[in-house]
Amino acid sequence: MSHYAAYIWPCYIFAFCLLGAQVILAFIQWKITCKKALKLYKDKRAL
Amino acid sequence: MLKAMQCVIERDLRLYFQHWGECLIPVLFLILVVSLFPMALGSEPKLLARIAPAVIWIAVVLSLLMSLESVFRQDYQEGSLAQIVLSPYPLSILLLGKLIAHWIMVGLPLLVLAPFLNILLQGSSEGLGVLGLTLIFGIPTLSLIGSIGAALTIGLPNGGSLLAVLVLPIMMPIVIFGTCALTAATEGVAFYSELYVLAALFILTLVLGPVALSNAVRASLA
Amino acid sequence: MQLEQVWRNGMNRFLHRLGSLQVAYQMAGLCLPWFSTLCVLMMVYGVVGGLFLAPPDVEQGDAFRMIYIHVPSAFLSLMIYGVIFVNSVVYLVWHIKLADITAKCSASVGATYTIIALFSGALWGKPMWGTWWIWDARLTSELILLFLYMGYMGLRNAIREPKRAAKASAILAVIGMVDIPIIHFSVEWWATLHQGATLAKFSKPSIASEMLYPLLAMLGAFILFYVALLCVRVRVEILKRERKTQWVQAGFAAQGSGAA
Repeated sequence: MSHYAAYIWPCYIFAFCLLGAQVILAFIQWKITCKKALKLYKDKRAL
Repeated sequence: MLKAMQCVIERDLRLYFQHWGECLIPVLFLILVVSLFPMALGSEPKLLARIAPAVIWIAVVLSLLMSLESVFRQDYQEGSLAQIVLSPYPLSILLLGKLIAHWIMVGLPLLVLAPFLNILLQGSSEGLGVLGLTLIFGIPTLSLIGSIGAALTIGLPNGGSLLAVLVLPIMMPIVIFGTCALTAATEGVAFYSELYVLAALFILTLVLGPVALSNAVRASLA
Repeated sequence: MQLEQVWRNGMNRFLHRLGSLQVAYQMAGLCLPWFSTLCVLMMVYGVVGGLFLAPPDVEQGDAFRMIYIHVPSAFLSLMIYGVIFVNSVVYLVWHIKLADITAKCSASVGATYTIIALFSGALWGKPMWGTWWIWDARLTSELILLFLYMGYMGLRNAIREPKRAAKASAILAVIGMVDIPIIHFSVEWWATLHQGATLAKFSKPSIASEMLYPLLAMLGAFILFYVALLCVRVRVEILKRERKTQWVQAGFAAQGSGAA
């Protein structure tokens, strides 16, 4: 099926790559923010 | 209230007259942009006549954007914009006064110049009146929309390009109807419906624009 | 008289609770696993059903299978702009911080859906119209919607002060929403070549349920994906803004300082 190879697979792959990138980005942001907040908490406790 | 608006208009006009060289820049910009097209596309009269309405409209939009970028800048830097915000009169009326002054010094010259540019581009003479009519409604609408964008980007580091990104998508319908009316007129088809829509959009922005504008200025100054 | 007072008190408390960032943070955390599980399930069914189970279309052959990406993302791109608009109005009127956070976190998801809709539209256009891009009314409106999203995000990024950024972008979102019908109308006017709206196809009895159910599942999955991602984003944003407050600190203390 040429339509599958030429159009349908690229369409689905592109869409899910973008959505996956959004998920990964959000996850990284979550980790970084958690780390920063935890560091703030520890610094405050150390004082 | 109208008296206050008149004061704002007079003050701005006086300032424009003191620096009248600045008012020439949008006009020069318009001429330059329009004359770039024959140089890039070749001077075949038929082609030029076909693209004339679109070229003039796009050039008007660009030069308005360029001049609107700095419409609040001076007032913001010297603090008189804050004074206007603090005054007891309705802010939207006062800002409308500023825009009227801007229209007299920048919009009107563009409007006057457009027919000559039409000749420069070999545009049809039937389209001349329609070009004037569309610009009469179009320029104030465009500058109202553009001024809201300018108010939102007051004092930002790269305000100019940001202003274009914010405002151009919102301006698109006006450009579409303006050029559609002109194309219809040059083809000899009825163009009234497009003109009516343009006029309706003008009235809509005239009613809603100043409210949004005053809110935008307040948000940027707070 | 008294009833009104009770009502008003209750309403105030409700709004306050709804707007409370702490409650929102906990709610988002609670809902997230449910939303994401349901989203994955529906997406798997939608993709399998759409790609393999649904029979090929009579006129378009297999090319119609792009509908399972294109239509949900196009619908979501507009819906998320609506969400941003509603949240902006709520922020401008009641100054509820949560509304601003929701609007801010929605924008990039909406832009992503818009890009997907454009890309899949172009891929669909190639076998159907013979070219990647046609300036037809719906594709053009979608492109302008992408510009609106870009302007919104650009304005937010350009302003450093959080309060001014919130207000300015809310005003821009309201203006954009007022303009969207006008843009659509003008583009429709201008475009000479346009098909009928795709969603209208569903009312025809000709569509097989094997085709329709995966589409509805994909629509649900895309909505759930947005909501789940919004939960994560809102939690990140709240934690960023509130990390110095008492309740965040207390939360860490309860967790034990060793836990990451």
